[in-house]
Amino acid sequence: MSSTVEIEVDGRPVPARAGASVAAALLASGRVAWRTTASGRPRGVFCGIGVCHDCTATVDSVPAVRTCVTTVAPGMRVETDGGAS
Amino acid sequence: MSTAASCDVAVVGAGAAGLRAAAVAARAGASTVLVDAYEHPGGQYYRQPASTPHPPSPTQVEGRRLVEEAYAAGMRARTGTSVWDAAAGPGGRVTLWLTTGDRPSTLECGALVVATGAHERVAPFPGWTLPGVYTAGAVQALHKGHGVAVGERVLFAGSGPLPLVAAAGLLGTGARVVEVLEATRLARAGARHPWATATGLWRQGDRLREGLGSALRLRRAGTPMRTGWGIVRALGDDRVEGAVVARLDGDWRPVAGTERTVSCDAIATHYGLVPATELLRLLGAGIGHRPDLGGWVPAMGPFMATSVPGVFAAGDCTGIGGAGLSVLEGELAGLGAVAYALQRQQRPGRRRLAALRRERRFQRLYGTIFALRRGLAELATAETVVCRCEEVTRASVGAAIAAGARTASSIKAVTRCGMGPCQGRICLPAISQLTAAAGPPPEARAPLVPVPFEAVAPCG
Repeated sequence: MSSTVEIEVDGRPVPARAGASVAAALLASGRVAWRTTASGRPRGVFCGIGVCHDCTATVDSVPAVRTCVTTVAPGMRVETDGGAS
Repeated sequence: MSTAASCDVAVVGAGAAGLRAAAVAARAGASTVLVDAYEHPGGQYYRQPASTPHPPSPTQVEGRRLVEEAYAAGMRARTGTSVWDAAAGPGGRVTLWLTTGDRPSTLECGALVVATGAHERVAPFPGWTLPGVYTAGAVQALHKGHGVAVGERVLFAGSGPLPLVAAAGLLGTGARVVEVLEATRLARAGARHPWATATGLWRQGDRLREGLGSALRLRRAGTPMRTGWGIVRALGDDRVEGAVVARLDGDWRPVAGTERTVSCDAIATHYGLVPATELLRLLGAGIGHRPDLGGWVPAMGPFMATSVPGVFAAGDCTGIGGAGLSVLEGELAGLGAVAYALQRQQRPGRRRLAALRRERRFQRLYGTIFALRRGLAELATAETVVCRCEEVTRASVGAAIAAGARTASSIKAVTRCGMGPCQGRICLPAISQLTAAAGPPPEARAPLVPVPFEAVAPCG
């Protein structure tokens, strides 16, 4: 079994598989969307390889981080702007 | 703040082509630096996770070997590092402006190999911006690299070998693949091009096995696979709840009366790959439009030289051809870069050239069989968003075209289509299909990737 780390998403603890991306951890926690567009529409992962910038969130105070190409780390703080879900 | 470094040969992109270019250049005695945006070298095909939830696939084992060979040859790797600007100097040397996280640096090299690969082509259809719609590559990456299945009932719809392989990969994860729809009628396309099919598949046993093996596993799982079918729209308000699919005619237009609704919670879509030429365009390399190779590709000379002295290119960024071709092109480009940087003549090798011809036949077959058809550009309705970043609708793009915009660049200027953080990588290939002529390639401008302000304008 691979080990688990705990990250914080919008103030709540979320378990994540060590080595997984933040996007994978968010999906595994049951979310499909975590960003809201200028027009108010929800977005989550789309391309999965860092090209489309749909899945961004604030990670450890850095805004607009692509969660699909960012690996989870113990204690990492992820702040989303909702994603309408 | 900024650190400068120099080397004989710099390689950008650590996939099949870049790894081989770096290995060959380093082994020939050139000081070689491999720059890659991801944390681990390997690229999309070899997908090298440090930790994986699954036993490594044969492809990943092969990738690990290539990475180890490149390191053993003496290459240095700068991972997690993106190129955001580049310039070819008058003396033939090339300067790259890099960012590692928020740390800027520069790298000056005697010769550059661009091996930036490709990304997936997606076609806007109604509902494609709903959460739960993914590229087939994203589904594969999330599953293979991160151990997450994107949904419980996943519909695959598009064209090309990747959706089939990605769908088969989901079997046994608890996710159900509800259907796999391939727009091209493969048997018919193969029969129409018997010579290309026969010569293209010559000695491509591994590839056939991968494709047929995937199809077989899906069939055993009871998954319906249909060719000549495609997605028409995704259903749902705030996330995917289903899809409307239809039989397609030879131009990929939905056949009236064949539409039906499929219940699913995730959709994987994919219409081939688009060469990632941003860095090459930024450097001013000559580019031509070749739909059979995936779109805009650089004009190539001997040893994979581009039109810019000292700049070489290899792999999918020079035209979609897959890993086998990328490996060979990477080796040639590595030799070319060494010859240029160290002024030391290199030989391409007869066996390598023979293998290259074989892989190019496969490339031609792939381009012929999976050619895009016109109907794909007609899926979007007036209110469908075509530029995901700037949320520009099909109607706005249509208005710009009606007002005289003829190229992707002019549509971009009028509508903001392609001005968002993805820099048009997702929407411009689709936009160029809407215009009558391909026009010149869209201009590439620095920064190629979003960079912290301090990197662009250092203080002090």
